[in-house]
Amino acid sequence: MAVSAMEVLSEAKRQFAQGDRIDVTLLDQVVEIMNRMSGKEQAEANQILMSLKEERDSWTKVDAILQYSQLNESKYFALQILETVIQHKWKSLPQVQREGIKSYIITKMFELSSDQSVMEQSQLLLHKLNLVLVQIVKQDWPKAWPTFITDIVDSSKNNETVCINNMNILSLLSEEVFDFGSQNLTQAKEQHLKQQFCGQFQEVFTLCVSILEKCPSNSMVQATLKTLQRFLTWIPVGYVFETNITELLSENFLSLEVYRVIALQCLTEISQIQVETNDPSYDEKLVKMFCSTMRHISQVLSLDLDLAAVYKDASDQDQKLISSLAQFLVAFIKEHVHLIEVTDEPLTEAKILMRESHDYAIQLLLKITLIEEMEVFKVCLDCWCWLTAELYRICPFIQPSTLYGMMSQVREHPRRQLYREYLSQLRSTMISRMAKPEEVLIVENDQGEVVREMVKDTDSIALYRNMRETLVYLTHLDNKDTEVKMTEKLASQVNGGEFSWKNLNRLCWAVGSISGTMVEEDEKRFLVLVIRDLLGLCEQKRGKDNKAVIASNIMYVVGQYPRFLRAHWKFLKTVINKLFEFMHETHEGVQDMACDTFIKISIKCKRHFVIVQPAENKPFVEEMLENLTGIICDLSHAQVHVFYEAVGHIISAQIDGNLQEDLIMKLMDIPNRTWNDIIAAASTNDSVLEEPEMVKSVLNILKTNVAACKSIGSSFVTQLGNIYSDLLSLYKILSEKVSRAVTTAGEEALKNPLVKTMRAVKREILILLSTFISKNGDAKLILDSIVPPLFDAVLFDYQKNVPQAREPKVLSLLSILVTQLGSLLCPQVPSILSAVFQCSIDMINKDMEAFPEHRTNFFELVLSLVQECFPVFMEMPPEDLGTVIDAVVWAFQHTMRNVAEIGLDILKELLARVSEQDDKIAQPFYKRYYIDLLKHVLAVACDSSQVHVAGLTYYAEVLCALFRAPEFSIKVPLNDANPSQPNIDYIYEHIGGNFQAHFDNMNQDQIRIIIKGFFSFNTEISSMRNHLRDFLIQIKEHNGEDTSDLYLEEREAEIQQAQQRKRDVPGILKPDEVEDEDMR
Amino acid sequence: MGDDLDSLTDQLSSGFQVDPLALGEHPRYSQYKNLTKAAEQQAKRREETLERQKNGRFDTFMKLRNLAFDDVTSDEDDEQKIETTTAEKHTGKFKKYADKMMLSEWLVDIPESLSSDWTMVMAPVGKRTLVVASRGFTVAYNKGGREVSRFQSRLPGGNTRAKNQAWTILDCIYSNQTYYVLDLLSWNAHEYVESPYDFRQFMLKSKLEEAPELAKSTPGFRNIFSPIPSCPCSQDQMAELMKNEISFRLDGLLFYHNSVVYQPGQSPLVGWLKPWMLPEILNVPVPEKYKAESNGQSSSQFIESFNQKHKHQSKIDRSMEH
Repeated sequence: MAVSAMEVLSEAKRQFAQGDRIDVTLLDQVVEIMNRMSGKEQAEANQILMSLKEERDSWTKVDAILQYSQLNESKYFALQILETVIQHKWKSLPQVQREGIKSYIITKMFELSSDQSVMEQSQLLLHKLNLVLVQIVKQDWPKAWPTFITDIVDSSKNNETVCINNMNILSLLSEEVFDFGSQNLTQAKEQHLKQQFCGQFQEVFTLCVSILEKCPSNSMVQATLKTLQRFLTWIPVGYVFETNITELLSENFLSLEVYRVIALQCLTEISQIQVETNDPSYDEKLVKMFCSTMRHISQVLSLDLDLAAVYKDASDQDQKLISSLAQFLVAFIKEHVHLIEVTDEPLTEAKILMRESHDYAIQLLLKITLIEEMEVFKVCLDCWCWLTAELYRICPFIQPSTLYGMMSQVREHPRRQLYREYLSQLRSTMISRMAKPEEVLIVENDQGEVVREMVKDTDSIALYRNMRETLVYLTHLDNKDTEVKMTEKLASQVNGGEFSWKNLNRLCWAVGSISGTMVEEDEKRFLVLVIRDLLGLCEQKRGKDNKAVIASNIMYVVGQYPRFLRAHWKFLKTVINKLFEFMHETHEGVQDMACDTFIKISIKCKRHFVIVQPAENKPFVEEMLENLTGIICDLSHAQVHVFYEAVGHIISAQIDGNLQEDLIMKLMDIPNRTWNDIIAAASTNDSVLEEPEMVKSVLNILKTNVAACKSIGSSFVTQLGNIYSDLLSLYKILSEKVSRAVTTAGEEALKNPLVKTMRAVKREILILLSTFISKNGDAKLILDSIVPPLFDAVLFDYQKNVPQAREPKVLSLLSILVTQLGSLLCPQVPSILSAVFQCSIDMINKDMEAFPEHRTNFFELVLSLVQECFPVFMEMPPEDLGTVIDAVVWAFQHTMRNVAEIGLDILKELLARVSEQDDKIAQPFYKRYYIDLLKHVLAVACDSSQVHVAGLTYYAEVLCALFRAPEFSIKVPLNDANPSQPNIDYIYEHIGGNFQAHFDNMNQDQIRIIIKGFFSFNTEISSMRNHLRDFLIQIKEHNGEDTSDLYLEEREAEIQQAQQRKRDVPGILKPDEVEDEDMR
Repeated sequence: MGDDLDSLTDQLSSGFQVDPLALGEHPRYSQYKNLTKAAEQQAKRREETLERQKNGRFDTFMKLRNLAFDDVTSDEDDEQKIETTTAEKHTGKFKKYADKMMLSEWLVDIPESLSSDWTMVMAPVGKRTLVVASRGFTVAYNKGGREVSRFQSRLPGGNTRAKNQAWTILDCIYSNQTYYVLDLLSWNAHEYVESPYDFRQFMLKSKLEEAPELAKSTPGFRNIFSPIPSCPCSQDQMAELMKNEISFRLDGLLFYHNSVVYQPGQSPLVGWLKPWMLPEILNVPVPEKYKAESNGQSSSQFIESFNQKHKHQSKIDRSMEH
């Protein structure tokens, strides 16, 4: 086979290339190879099929393939070809051919759908045929095929299976128009199709209802229900509430298992309809529908059932039922719960029924919430979160759980009373299922360093936030009950009944999540109880593993309650001392936990460590610093950095400058001593800096400095001042050593571990300075003392280094400087640019990928320069500005998302700034660059794959700015050949010509309206965005001569309106543009 | 309510431990009360240790070589050895220097030969470190084997100019830029671990005297190395030593058996007492300034709570169970 496969393929390649007729057997073989084999053969077959598909006339062979092929896959392939043709070239085909294809598809479809067994055999093919038909409908209906809906309805009456298939087609069409319409239809077209569908819906609806009433066969009813579910999202509400459809669905289809799920899904859709009328009959219908649904469901699901256990072993179908049920309940409750809550006497029969249904529904939802399936749980949680918030808002005050608890119960709002029991159950569920909070992860970064990261936004974090919110509301609604529930759970941990790490974690996360919801006195009592029990548990359990878990939980809980800690100094101090003790405990995770809790508490309680507390003789921070060595001696480097950051936070709370300085010096004493030793050794002989261990300890010292600087902020200046000159010398020396290594050993040297560490040191120095500068507002200090030596050491070094050894952090440090100093830095900008601009450009203009970090940092630097030091650009020599503009264009051509975005940001900023300038500055700029920029932006905007890199909105904003310019700002004639021509006309002509040349599928009218739109929408970003999207859809379609269903006139009218809206704003037009009465 | 919080604070500070060995009443305490039996047992342990020491083959020399030189190969060997001998998992690269130091036990019973065969050493307050000078660096490791400091020293092998010399390993207490040398493991590539304690001390004192520059802090060689006062354990000499004015804060007193070779881990041949315990346990008078530290506790109370607080573990109870 392998040998012959290649032969077959080369034969196929030859034959297919010739065109004309197609050997269907050969095609079948190729498709077979494509599907069954792997490796080279498969790739080759794939290639052949792809080129066949792209061939201009390949669609003419489709009928032959469908006719003669033995393989369903080949037929499917043929239909794919057809689909593409219809999507992009339909209108350019001659009328006869269109008719031919259409009737061929319809015939084929009937052929496959009129017989049950044939239909079952060729499911897949039929589905594709349906899709192809829907594509045709989208093009032809209503103009070329006005009777489509009637055709469908009529043909459905003849044959059962045809009817089923027609239902499928209708639901596909519904999806295409209403769900995905915005992706591949222009706005005007989408709107028309929707109107058309709604207008002709009566026929379809009658058909559906008659099927549902008569129930001719199972499969037909199912297909109808499925289709109906699609329709329910968009049909006019009258069809739902002014017909018998709600009764039909809730009375007839819930008792039979086959329809239950789909009927529930329809009911869910109905519940979600936002009714905007006050018609009480609508409400009645909804209530009736709900009660009837609950009645039917209660016959299947009794409340005695242990739903969580049943669900675990249930069939797929049953699980689906439960999740559909949950969705229905949630949808109805969130939208209409007030309709079914019975809070007032007297109870009529209807009210009793309502109350029963409501009770049953809430209890059922509570049961479903217990199911151990995340997706189901999330659905329920969504509802509980909403409901508890709703109940809280009735009376949003914190209520102390006092002795008068009983009294306040009596006066409780009737709605709250209604849910009292249920919410109590819900509390238990929420506590025992509490999700994991945000946590710090220890990860290794690209440079192989261990760093700490907050977990990014993930599903589980979102889950935690929702559960936390729900628990907070639940606590507000009845804090006593929350307290009781939590202490009960804790007791069962202590008694051993339910003790497990998982259960304990969840309980403690829950306890931690309600911080701040109780009044302070209650919170204190509650916490004392919880912590005491947890401590008891810790003493009672054996084994380091158990104890470590319990200890982490205690510290988590404590860290969540800073208010409590701040109010009780002795306790706080003991906690901190305990954490220091844990910093010596080598059991896995304990030191990390201790450091994390320490920094968390330091941030929240910092002030309390720098003041002298009652019964103490000095601030606690001084004690900490005296014992510093003893506290941190067992910590790893990364942990020590966390520790330093934490102490930094504390020190930042000392407001007396002298005392603060003193504290900083004490904190930095240890690293400074080692630093001085190393510097002393290096000053006699800098070869010590080639000792790997030495360089590593320098790196560690720097990281310690960074950690402290991060939290201390601008007061770090003394410490930085002490080491600053050595820091820069070190930078220079190491940089020279790296360069030397690269010169002697080539780029390979950069992989050498020592060289890597040296570069890491350089990077860390830059990070330290970036951190400091970004925290320091003293512009004069930075400008006078930091900048000159910095530029001296760093800029020149960057320029002369080999590209691979240049530090991208230099660029980001410069950005930070620019942002921090603003226009004060202007005099320095030329020297910055001369040092980094050209050499960075040379690194990144060869391709779109190399040096990604340099790339982003470089363009960010340009962006901040444009933002902060704009005048410099206008003063620079034209050649230089030209290079900058080229760089910006280069940036937004990138496929790297952030680079493209920065590029567009720069351009936006640039255009905005230029438009603010004096004419003598702005006009030459426009003259020189405007047309080029416009062309480049449009070139990218026309490429739909490129547009989506940064997103339509970005381009819409830039296009707005670009098309605003000629209307409001540009005064100098842009057309050199004919200076008397108005600029707007010139631009029309210019880009019109370009479009004409590039997109031969579009006609004059289309192009005219597109450009007109660009101008008219230039102040409305969202309209511009939609206009751009329409444009992107149109450039893919071939339209032929008849453009009547492009709705160009309507579109033009809308554009005209936009232009008018602009004119309506007083003063938006210049006086000479306004037509005055006097001028007539 | 205030009481509630106070008792909670007490519970937090005393009972809350991760190390299970620190749980409840420490087994050592009851043995202390049952002095005679404990003393018997302890004496037996000491004898056995001395005996093992005589007969046992200590291939510590190779181990020390590995300590001083970061060879990749020897590192692996070392790791394997630890893997097989210790059940508890150490983390990563610190294991190499972990648990290498010889540590003391509370000297709660008095060995019969105390006055003739033992030496008392004054231990300053500070951090116990193993100082390894080799390949041009001097590195201090804590008990857990973690590097706490790295510097240049004048120890043989301990600075870049002397990096081609061989290595030196010292057992020290670090405080305020001074390394107080407790014990000598090797000096300039000569091994002393298998020599008895009195010989090691003699060598140590001579080496430090030969190199007085070690006691001087200069830029680049900031840390200094200093000997510690010690004396034979006769009652008079101990009392005399305690009267001495010393430049450091006294943490406690170490008691070394004169024949103990240097072995990692706790040894029954090394004892430890707080200064104020001397009168009670050894009947040796001490100056008033030391007595205040007892806070009114008896030695036994103190030892018990100390053990709990510091998760101090003694080997005695384990071997007693056999």
